[in-house]
Amino acid sequence: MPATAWYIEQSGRTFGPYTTDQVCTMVATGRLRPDDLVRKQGYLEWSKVSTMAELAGALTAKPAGKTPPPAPGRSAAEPRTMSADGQPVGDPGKTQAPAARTPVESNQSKVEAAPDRPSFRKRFLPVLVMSNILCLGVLVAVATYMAMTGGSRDGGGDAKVIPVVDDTPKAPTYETDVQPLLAKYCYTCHNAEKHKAGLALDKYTTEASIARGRKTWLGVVSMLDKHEMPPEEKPQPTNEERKFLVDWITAAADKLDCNGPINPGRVTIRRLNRVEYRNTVRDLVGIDYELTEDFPADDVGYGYDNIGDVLSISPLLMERYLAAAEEITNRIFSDRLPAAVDKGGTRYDGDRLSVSSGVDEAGGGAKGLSSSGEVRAEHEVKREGEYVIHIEAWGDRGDGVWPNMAVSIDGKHQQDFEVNVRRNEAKTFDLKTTLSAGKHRIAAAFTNDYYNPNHPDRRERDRNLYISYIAVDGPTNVRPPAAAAADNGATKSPFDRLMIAYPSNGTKDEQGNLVGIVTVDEAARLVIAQLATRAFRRPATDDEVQRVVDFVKLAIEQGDTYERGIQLAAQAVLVSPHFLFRVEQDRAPDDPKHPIAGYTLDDYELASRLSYFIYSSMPDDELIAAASRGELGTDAQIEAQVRRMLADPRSQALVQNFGGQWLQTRNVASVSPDPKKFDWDEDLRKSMVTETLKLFESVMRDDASVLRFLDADYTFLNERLAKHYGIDRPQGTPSDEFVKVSLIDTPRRGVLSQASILTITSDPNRTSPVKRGKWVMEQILGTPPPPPPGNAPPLPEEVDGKPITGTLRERMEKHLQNATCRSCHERMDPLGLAFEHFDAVGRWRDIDGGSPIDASGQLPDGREFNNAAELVQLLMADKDLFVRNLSEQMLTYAIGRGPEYYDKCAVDKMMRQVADSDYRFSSLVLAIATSDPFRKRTAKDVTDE
Amino acid sequence: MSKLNLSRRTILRGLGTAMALPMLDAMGSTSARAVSGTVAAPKRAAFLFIPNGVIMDAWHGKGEGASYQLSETLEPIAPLRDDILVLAGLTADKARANGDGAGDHARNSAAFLTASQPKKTGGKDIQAGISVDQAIAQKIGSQTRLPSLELGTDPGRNVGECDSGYSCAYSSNISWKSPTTPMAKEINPRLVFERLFGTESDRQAARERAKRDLYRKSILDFVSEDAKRLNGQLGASDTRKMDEYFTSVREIELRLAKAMAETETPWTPDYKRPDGVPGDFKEHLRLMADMIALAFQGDLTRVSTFMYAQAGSNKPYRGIGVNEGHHSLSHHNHDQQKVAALKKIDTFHMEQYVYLVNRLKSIKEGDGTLLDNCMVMYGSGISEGYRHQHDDLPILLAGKGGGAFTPGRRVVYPKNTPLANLFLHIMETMGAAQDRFGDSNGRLSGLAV
Repeated sequence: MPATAWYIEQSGRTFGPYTTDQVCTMVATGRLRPDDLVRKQGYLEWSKVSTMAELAGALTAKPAGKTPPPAPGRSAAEPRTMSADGQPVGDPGKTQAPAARTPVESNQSKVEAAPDRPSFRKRFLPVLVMSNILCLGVLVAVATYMAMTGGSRDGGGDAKVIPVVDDTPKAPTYETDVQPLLAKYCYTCHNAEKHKAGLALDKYTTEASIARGRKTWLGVVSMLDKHEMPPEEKPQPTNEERKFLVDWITAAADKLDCNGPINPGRVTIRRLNRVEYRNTVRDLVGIDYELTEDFPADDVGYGYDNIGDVLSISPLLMERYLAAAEEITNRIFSDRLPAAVDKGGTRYDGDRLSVSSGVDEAGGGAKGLSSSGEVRAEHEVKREGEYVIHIEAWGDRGDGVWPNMAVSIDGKHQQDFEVNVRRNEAKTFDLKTTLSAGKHRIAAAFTNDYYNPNHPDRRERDRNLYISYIAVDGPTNVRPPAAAAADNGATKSPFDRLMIAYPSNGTKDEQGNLVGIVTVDEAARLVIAQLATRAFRRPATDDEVQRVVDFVKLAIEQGDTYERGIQLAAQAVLVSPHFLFRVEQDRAPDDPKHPIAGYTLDDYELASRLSYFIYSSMPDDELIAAASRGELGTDAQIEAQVRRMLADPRSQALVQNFGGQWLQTRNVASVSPDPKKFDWDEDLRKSMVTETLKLFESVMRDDASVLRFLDADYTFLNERLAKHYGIDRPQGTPSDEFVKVSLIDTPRRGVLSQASILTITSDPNRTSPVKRGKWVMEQILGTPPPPPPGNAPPLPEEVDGKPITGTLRERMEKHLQNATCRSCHERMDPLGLAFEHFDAVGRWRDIDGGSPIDASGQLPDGREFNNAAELVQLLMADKDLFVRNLSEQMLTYAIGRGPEYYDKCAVDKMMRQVADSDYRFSSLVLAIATSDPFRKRTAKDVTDE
Repeated sequence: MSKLNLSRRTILRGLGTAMALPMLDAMGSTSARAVSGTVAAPKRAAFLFIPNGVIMDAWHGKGEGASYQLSETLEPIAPLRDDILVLAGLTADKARANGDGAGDHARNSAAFLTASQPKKTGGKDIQAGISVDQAIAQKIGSQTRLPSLELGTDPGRNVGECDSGYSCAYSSNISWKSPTTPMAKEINPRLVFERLFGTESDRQAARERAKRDLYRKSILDFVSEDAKRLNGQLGASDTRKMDEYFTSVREIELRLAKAMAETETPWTPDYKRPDGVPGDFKEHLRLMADMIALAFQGDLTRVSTFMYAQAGSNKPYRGIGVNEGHHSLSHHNHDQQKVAALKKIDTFHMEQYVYLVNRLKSIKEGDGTLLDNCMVMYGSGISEGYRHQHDDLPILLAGKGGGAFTPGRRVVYPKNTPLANLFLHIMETMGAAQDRFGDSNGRLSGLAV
């Protein structure tokens, strides 16, 4: 019969799955205590150990603290006390039978009646059979062990206690089981009097005091565990005692009361990473500084590149920041004036101008307009933006009036120019305008003809207009679409946005008084106050502004202009630590009685957390306005902002930066599949990343359930990927467009069968089921396998003297013949092998190495599947594992620090909120944005101890 | 150990005119000026790292001393045999688990030049130790335009855990400025070139330089003041970040001050400005090697590190017909094809090392070559990749270090001799002597005869 899978929760983390048997061992040995939470596969709720009928026997068997508790996941590998047929050794009659069995545990015959299945199954059999008898085997094992070691709680003579004799369930307690050991081995030196190494362990009189002194006690545990304490010359605890103390104290130290004050964690101030820097500069000054690619790469911690602790600054990076600040401010100021026409503009002269009737050649390619008509240039604009149109012209005056030149674009009148120069003074008449992308007809017409051959002055008889060329220069304010969108179409150039004030000598009013004088200092203060406030993401103080304004004075002293001074000042702002770091000020705890619960961030700091979480950029105007009004204090106010921001195009940053790192599609850029072996090209490389991010985006934009990441029966394909997958796309769609496609009749579901993930978890020349399995455990389930033991042996070359041959799958099955390997690989390998139908670049295949592919398998808990799609269904049954993992991943990304044991309460709450909202994407973002770790911070001098 | 003492005249005679300026400059500005008018050419040290260890069976030569027999992998050094020391038996103990479990690749890079046990953490409180190159740079770095130069080839854009619970900071850096601050490496040869010799626009703006430098200096003053003020308001982990910021600013300030005091036009090599990161890996490695050679030649820095790839790299080497990833291959399980492919990679890396050594040897300095004044260490913190062992490391050292080393020999040290003992000798040669470094337990003997 299939065994039940169990999950356990400790230190805020989920472990498992374990067999019933393994869990029983943990209970029996005190590794799990009555109050610990466990969950059976198929059940959503966590329950206390003490309430689980299956485990009751083990609880009553609690054999004192002298038994080595097994490390999670290792215990049941060798059925020591079992005979081969699964009967417990010893007399089961003496052991109390467990009360209840769940229905799923009653079809043993089914499993055993399937001998035709490959040998894969067999290796799981001992485990399955053991589970059958629930805790009995373990109890016997424990009892036997105790008998061997002579352990008993009382340490008295009746050493051979049979566990079940004890009829009151009793977990080891601090007072009865732990303190005596501490007194024996530790207090001698570490007491209130001697307090060697500053430690007075005897002052911890209750279990709860251990949690309060967590840091100290984890230090104690570490010393104990590494056999560094007690010192060699002092009495040593037995290995069993040592292990018991380590496990018990660790558990006690990590114990949390979610109703009490909880540490919200302290995020180290975060430097802007490359992406954030580029986005922030874009939103701050309107310049897209693409050279952030030249910054040294940001180191990654906990899977993300925005972790405060690992975002360091090296001299190399500082150099880049200084250079970037110069370049960015140069761009702001060079955008102000149109570049010379010959630089980037297009000039239409001579035969490139078209003319209406009545226009004559006037020599040198110039056109002469003697009575009416117009000269036209057809110009194609590649990017929308601000352009300057230059028209070189001159005129003949008639009757004292210069010719009028009416300039129109696409037939729409723009501006009239009085062309008041003669031929030898010909000049350009400039028109600044916004042009959309596409073709435009720019026309200059002559509209005030005058001809009077009788005019007394010969030179005033004929009014004529001459045009030598029309030139289009620009765009002068190129901005990325995102920034343009963010401005709601505002077309102010970076220069105009920055230069909001100029010094002025004033003008005389009607009474002759000089008014409107603006000093350099006053003007500069206005400009800098606006810039610094936005750059620092909070109101800049007067002092800060003044210090920056001093740069303007310095420039002027050096003989430079006011503008050059502002440019210099802007440079300083862009390298200030207040800009490069997201500083969160230290404050006193909200509640002096519970300093550990930290303080609430102010609204500006919270605004920054929100915007870097969702936009990977500085807060937009609305968010800053909300902060300045103090409107980020309640859940509802935060919710309103989060919903608004998720709907903003800039939330694409969350897709790219969170999605791309959680699902690791960023690694696609560095894979190098063998193009001789696989269907591989650069187009496919790009397409597969887009597919995964499109799915992420659709879940976000449609506010769908996050479970769709696992089981979506649709995806987004361009022509290249559709061909790769062998899936048809709707006819007539452009080949490079990603269109939504149903996967219902295909073997693919969710992200796990997307080419991107299948490729990054492969080696260059073959699939790697181990990497795929590990990926599922880490990125989807959040139950990473423990690292391989030091010097893990490679797959054995031979077993029982026979060399191993066969397919990858057959070879991998050898993992399971070695107890060391099996404990992890029995979970990893089937998860990975399920995807064997997908080759190393995610293309479907039926055959590998000449043999048909078998993608079936069985999880250690006995659940079976035939292929990847069925495995996905099994994973869906563990959806709370997935959701917990996704919550932790996104929380890590949102706050920029790794998960800590004390985040458990916050994550539990998020899980409830998300489940209550049908797992909608927005509910997850909201749950994070309103959580304590996101809104609060531990005060600087407060630690656990 | 004999110091190579040269008169000013000797140096000038030995150098081309293009070389004269920086050398004069270095002599004039450094402590290298010795008593009674003779100077010693500056010493330079480079530390090259290869990932995933090597096939040790093919690495080990036979015999000791000058008559040792070259191994299969070391074959490419045959023409440079007299310029290279083969060192066997050295160990990076701090790359071992020592109770920290898996993660040999991350530890191998983090411990390689620090000789310190990296703290096992995914990101919080990363900590290794100061690396040998940085310890040297702290002592003598102020004498050159750049205190040190950190190079690599991998963009380090990995996401996810890099190795069994270790932050990627450990596997993508070998150089550590302080125990908590890795030195970011530069992978783009064009940007390295511009750091050394300035950008095009720097040249155009030469007339404006004085004012620009003044402005730059005022900005640096301003932000250091900002950092100082901010520091008072922060907690410990935040302060650490501010310190990083502050020391980085300080370093640039010093560099700028030196540049402002310079009256000579800086030396520019007759070398085509690189375009950027080339597509071909070999070309990439060679361009970076050129950058080290140019930096040493112009005395723009005296210490450099270079990671051929990051720890645990799974890069295939298609250019030499190896299509499987390096790391996967390293778990070869004695599969002869895989072993053969690994040997190809080992030989390829060796050829790139030979390229650099040749470059240094081709540049004249004083009466000898630039190589004579260099110590170019090559190796890995893992010996046999298959077993993740950290003893008997593959270590080579090219150059004489101005006479402190006698190359052309193979020296075998007792098992578990700390690699850090070699560092002590290099540090002293560089003028940055320390009694202890990392897990050292004494100066390595037998390096000079």
